[in-house]
Amino acid sequence: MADPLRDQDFEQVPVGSFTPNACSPDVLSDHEFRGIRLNAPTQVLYDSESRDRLHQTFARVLVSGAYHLDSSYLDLREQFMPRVLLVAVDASTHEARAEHFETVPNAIEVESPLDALRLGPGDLEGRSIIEYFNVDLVRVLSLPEAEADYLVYAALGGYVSNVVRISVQKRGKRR
Amino acid sequence: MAEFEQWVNLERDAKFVADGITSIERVGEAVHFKCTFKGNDLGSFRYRVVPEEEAEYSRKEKGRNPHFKLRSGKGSTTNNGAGETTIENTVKLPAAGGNKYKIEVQWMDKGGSTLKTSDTVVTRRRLFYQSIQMSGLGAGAGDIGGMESDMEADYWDEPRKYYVKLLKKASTTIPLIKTMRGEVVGGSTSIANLDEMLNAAKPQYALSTYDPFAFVLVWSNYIATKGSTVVNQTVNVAAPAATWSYAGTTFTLETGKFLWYQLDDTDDANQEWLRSIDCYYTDAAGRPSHLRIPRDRASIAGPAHRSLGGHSQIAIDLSAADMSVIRDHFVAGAGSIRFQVTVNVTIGWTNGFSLGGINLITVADKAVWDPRTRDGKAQTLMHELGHKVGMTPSGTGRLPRKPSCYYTGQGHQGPHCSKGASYNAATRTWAGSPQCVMYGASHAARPRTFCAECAPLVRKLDMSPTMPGFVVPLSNA
Repeated sequence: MADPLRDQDFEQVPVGSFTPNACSPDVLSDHEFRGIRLNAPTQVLYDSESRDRLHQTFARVLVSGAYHLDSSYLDLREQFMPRVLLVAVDASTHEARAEHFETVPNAIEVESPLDALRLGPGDLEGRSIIEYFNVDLVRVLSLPEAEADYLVYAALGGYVSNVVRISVQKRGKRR
Repeated sequence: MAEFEQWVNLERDAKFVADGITSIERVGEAVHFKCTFKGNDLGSFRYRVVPEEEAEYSRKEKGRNPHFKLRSGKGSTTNNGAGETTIENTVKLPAAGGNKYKIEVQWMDKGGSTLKTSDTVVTRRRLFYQSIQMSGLGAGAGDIGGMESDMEADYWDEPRKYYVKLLKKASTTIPLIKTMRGEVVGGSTSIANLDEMLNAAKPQYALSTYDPFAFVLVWSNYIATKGSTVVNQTVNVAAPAATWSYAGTTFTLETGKFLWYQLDDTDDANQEWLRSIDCYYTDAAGRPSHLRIPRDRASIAGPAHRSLGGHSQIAIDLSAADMSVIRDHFVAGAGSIRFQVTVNVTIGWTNGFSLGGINLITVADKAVWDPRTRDGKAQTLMHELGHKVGMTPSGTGRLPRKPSCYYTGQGHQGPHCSKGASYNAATRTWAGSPQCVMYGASHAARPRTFCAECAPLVRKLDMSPTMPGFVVPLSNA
């Protein structure tokens, strides 16, 4: 059995990457599973040192996710990633923030190779795909620079992921 | 009657007296004027700076940024009866381009007659840039000089009164990075192989003299993001599908995504497009079984979708003896077998980006295995420089007001303009025809120009020191 994830493990995960890593949820071991799963650190600390030099974001609140979906689901021809909706709810104020994430800023829309195949009704039967994402909620959801506890989940069509709780706190403060 | 150009965003420094600026007096927001009294009589007068043409800042804008105000624009002075004497005063002009001012003087005695100076001061802004081209971009990149000239003309734009003079001070090259990858790695401060580009460009940075009024424009090749996709394809010869085929002893699979291939020569040599191939089946004794297929049995298959590449099919050679258990499933009545193929794919492409704090923008020469059009690249250049100088403004801090077409998020990262397009929050899709270069994604209708609502804001931008996009010069990146 793998060791449980520690908060510092998420610091090693490339933000904005779409490949599996040690923090990615396991969606491979149960082939029958369909849906979305998330992993996240329980606590994220920030201070002046944690500000990103390029994006000027105050902290890095990373969520690692994966989904396993039937290829025919929603007739999207496996173009699921742009449709995943990330939601973060402030546990105190109940304010909800929801947004899709970009795979790359100002992404170019590209047709799927499947579009050229003239697929028949049964062509995607028995086919499914698994994909991964590692995104920074501060960037995707414009989380404010403030202490808060967030309940975070992802949704696509009828699938809703597990809910992860992330506490964003200033470094050095005792709670 | 003379017209003087005043370069209001620059710091008053002799180094800027060049390239058409002939006097230190013309550098910076402060304008000095002298009054000479020729008589011996005691004389007093009021003076005020009279705008002949001026960008209008709201009270809120003026309240949060002093550079949006005309400062010391009026007052009174006297010669104290000292006879022929000269009195100097200083006026600080607002940040906008294309403003025109004259000095009006009114005597405080003898009926208060008014005199307006004949000289006019017009406001201008100036930024410096260095063009860095990756070597080996190919023939399609040939008109870089022309696109840069377009950018210079677009940001001067006399009719819209932007009056931002962009001066190219250096042109250099760096080695080709075939594909810049969009992901951020390790902590929060470095970017995968963007550092490679920064490290190549940094020693060539020739604009330190002009900081913080300088930026670097890098002409890059591809900008793409890699992702992993696991395709589970159940195969049964009794139910063939368009996504796979079997001929001879070769199984061919359509992965449904463009493989990470022909984007990085080292990655290609390492067969980076493939992670693993597994087969799951039920053996003769009815037990669930698994076989991992060696990587060297897989190859790229099928035609390229684009002019410079773009493959999505893989072929798996099942001819070897150790593959017989797999081959046996490709006969009638053998039942099904599941291939689990994990591949690295291109999950996103972009045409360019502007780094948040570092004074650098980059424009991709190619995308999705095709050369980009000249118009497309010129449009990207205009967009990314727009971000660099503060577009689309959020109406906070040193920025002008937020236009009604301003948006963030909604599927696009950063501050953008929605003019002409609308976002459906329920379906999370955009519709319409964008009318502004600051629309947040590529679109056939997106023009190279700012929309009617954003254009006046470009004119009003404060380009004095501490512009957020210029705070970290490449030399310190």
